Amino acid sequence: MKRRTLSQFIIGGAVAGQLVMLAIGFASLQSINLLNYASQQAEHSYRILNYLERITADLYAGQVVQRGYLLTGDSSSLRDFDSQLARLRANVAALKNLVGGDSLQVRRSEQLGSELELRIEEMRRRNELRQREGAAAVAVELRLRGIRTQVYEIIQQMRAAEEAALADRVGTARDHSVATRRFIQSGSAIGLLVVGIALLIVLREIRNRTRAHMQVREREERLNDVMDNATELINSLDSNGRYVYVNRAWRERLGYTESEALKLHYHDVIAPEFHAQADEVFRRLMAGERLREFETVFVSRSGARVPVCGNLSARRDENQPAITRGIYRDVTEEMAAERLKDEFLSVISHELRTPLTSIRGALGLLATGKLGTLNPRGERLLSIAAEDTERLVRMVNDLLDVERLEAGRVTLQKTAVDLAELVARAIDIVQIHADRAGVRLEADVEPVVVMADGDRILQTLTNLLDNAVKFSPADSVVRVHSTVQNGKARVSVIDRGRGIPTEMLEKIFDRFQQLDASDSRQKGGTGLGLAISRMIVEQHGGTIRVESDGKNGSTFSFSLPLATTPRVETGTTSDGPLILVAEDDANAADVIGEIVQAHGFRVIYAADGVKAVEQARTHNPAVVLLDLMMPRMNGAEVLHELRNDPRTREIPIVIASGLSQGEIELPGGVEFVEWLRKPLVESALTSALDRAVANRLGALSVLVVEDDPSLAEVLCSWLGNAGIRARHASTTQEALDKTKAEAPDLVVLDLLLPDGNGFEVARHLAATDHKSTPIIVYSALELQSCQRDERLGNIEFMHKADHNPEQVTHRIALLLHRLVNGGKQ
Amino acid sequence: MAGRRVLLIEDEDHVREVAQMSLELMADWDVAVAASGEEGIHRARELRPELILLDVMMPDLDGPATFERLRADPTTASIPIIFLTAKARPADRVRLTELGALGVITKPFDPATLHLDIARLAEWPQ
Repeated sequence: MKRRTLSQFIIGGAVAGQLVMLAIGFASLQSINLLNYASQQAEHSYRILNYLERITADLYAGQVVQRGYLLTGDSSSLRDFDSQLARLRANVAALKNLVGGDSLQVRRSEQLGSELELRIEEMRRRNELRQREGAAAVAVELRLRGIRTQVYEIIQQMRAAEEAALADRVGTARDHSVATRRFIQSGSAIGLLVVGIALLIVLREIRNRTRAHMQVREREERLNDVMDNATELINSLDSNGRYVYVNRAWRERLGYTESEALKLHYHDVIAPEFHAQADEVFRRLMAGERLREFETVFVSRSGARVPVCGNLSARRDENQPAITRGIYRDVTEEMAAERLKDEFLSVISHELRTPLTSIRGALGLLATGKLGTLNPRGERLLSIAAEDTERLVRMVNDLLDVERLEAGRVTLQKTAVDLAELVARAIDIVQIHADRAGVRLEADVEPVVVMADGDRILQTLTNLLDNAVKFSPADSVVRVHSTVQNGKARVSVIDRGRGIPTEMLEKIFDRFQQLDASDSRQKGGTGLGLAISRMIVEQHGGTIRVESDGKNGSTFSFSLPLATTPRVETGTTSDGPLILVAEDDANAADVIGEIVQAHGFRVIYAADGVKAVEQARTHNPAVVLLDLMMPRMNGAEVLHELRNDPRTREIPIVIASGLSQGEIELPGGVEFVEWLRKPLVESALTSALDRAVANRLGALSVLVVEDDPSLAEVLCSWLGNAGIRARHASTTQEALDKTKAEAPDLVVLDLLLPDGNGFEVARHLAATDHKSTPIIVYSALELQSCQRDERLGNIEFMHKADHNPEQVTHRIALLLHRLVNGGKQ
Repeated sequence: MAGRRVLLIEDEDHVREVAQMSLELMADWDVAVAASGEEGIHRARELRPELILLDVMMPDLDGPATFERLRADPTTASIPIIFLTAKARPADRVRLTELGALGVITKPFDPATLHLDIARLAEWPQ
């Protein structure tokens, strides 16, 4: 703003100066014109005066000649008289011409002409008189009449008039020239002043700008210094993704010169398999997001891979295309160190296990007493060795757990589990320790169903209970309590021990953080239990925390999501495939029923063989789960009945038996789908049911759109294992081609694909007449509900972190079953 | 060499038991034990042992602090002390020796030769 007024001022000054100069020039020109005119006029006046002089002189000369004649009478003296008169007349005529512009003088010159003729006439008359009557007569005549003097008066008038005009003209010209001089003098002074001021301002401005320019350059150099001395790889990209700046570390690490680098696109630098991710990130940056700890891999000019981790941001100036800046850390060494540490841990753990196994075995054999009895001291030494061996085994297991959990190698097998049951099992495990320490365990837990990996949550509960028991005084109580809020269950383990100081509350879940160094040895812990518990709970999407006032015990609590989202995991029970459980043991039937329902099937029961056949005929179940040992009619007979009745002939049968196949003779030619050994394993049961369900689906096909070849292979194998035909596409284009070639009955969709977004496939299906084709989006992307475009048809979302391929396959089997059977059952 | 009276101050039950048994069985010494620094100081004043074996890492009062307290008390100031430690780095050994200890024995020790190591450091005739 200030700059603008300044330049306006400078321009204004220059314009004013020029106007002044222009005015001076104009005035001078006027003045010169005026002087010119005045001098022309003066010359004119002088010429008139000159003629008047000449006329007067000629007149006098004529008079002198005449007077000579009048006195002498010598006619020869009149010789030139006529020519003199003729010249006089010519001069008067010229004068008349000369005064043409002035009417007064013209009138006077005419009077002059006529008076002159009268005078000439008078002179002629007197010459004639001299000739006739002599000199005396002329003298009388002269005395009597005198001489006509009007001519001289007129001449005198004309001269006076002309001289006055002359004086007037000269005066005017002088006045003008004086005024002009003053104007030029003052105008020049003003002009000089204006120009001088403008010059001063310009000089000051130039000095200021030079200084500002130097400051900018200094800042730029300083910034460049900092950038070039940074160990981070720093680059800036224009809005097309081309490099516009790279610092020295960047150039040196990737082996490009500056001019080479500035010709590159980020696709030339980022490893090809990260292009899709980089494009997405670039788009988000341009939309104004900032990204922290973005991990990718650069490829140097020589082809070496450089793993980096960076913070990215974009700068958007008004009316300027955005520039994105990335500051990357080369994490090659970090990753190598991390990998080395992981490998070290893993190797150590595994290598430790082998000798530990033999130590444990050897000590165990000694403890049997088969090799001779030991005295009490010997017994004591043996039990010390055995106890500490167990501790070492626990520690190795914990170290392995930590390593696997941190590396993300633990896939949780989440199912709907009863929290109260888990707590009861954990209490069973810890009970021995509690009894030994004289600590009572109490539970007050609601029978809620949570989505959890039962074994892992049991491990967490055991850890927390073990800790509570260890730090509880004898005769105190450790209580387990649960609450339900906001779709989550929170389990608290409350002890009355010594508590935890406030400053330790934050750190207690870190690795190897005990209250003091000797705690682990005193209490037999590994220092890893809480760290493991936290990782397990967090992988479940829950939180773990501890409260303590530092004196009166502490409360450890963790939350787990409730299994109230039956949409994905358990399906809607109302239209799940109907399973007929033919089992005479009511307890076993209950357990099977619960498991099967938890996986989205519907259940009917039959307690004996006759009932089973009846139920199958009436309800036409999707699968019959058949126990072979049943009252009234055994399994083999039931099989025979079902296969010989056209109404039930096609129903797939899964046999569940304590015997293995071949240990019992079944009627020949009877087909069944699966043979399961009792006791039933949950995952074996559900996948057998999936296969059985799929068995009746016929030639339905699933299109798996997934760019990761390993995951695609695993998923297709699971589908194949369930008897579902699967085709695979690894790009959007391939998916569209395969969809056109043969419309799939269901699509499993990854979102991040090399050539675009999986939603394009969904849009294609929605736009054609496959709008009702079910789609399962199976992606690692966390989608907000607003991003889930429900208009695209029949879409379900399953997250890669939460659902393994087995669970996805199960869901697919349920969806396909629903598709085929509609509302029939 | 039999019958020497030594005091073992060690918080870890199993280690304490094994060391005690080792010295009693192998050398027939009279081994008194204490499970903490405080208890050790108390026992040392009471028993005036010929030598003290002192664990370094202990809760509350650790080895070096116990050492200073024993040295500051005229009744125990002259009793030679040998440290037991799991920290086997040379710098740790130097630091402990500079405190004025007779020597340092690192864990895990060999129960069969523990008494020989102690006797060597204490310059007891074998």
